[in-house]
Amino acid sequence: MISSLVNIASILFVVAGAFFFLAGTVGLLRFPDVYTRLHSLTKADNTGLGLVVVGLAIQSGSVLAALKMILAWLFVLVSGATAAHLISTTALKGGIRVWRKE
Amino acid sequence: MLPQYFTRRAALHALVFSGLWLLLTGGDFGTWYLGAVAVAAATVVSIRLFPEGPGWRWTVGGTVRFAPFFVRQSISGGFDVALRAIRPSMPLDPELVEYETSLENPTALAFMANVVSLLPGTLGTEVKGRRIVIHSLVGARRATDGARDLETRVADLFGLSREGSA
Repeated sequence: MISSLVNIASILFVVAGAFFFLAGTVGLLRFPDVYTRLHSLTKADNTGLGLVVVGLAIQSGSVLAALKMILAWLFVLVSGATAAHLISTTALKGGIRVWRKE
Repeated sequence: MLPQYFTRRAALHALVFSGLWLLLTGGDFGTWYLGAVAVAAATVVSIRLFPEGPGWRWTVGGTVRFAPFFVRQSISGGFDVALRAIRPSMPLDPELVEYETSLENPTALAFMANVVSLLPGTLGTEVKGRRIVIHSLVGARRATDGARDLETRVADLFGLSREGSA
């Protein structure tokens, strides 16, 4: 009973995470410029991976494995936000114009 | 030789990196020599890159207050951009907003510029002195309000008192 509840919760978290990854990829393809695409990538990765990690952590049955996954999530956050910052700064300095609504 | 690597500060960094390594390897000591190289390299880099000295520390209370805020904002930020991406009308109306923070500490400022990118509708771009250029999908007003709120929380997290704040 408990284990099937945990399984259902895991499935929900992982599917929700996958939805954010999918939406982030759709944004990457549809959005008009480098800045808006970075929005889509950084935030969808953050939320999507966070949800996948929660879904897997409750399956792992080990505190150490759960901590390791949370740590991996934090590293992805740090590297993603830093990469987004560097790319957008370089784009602005390089004179790449911000897309504006007509 | 190189006295800055034989300090309490360097020892503390090395201890934290060793803990991270153990966590990542799942407590396996079999490849400790690789860990030793990684810990030494990370310690050297962190001592060289992190501005030295007092001025900030992670506060436990600040962390406890910051974590739920961050999780809430992450979910809302993810939803915001996901909906913009999948809605057929793709509602985007970007603006560049400059926000001047009162955070003087470079570590806190860098942290804030990065976290701005993870909040709903805002992307931290160029940092000029204490001004952060924010690329906003939610208008100038909400970007500024969000940045101001974040600034207070970052100061709390880093145990800083801010000039000109009540």
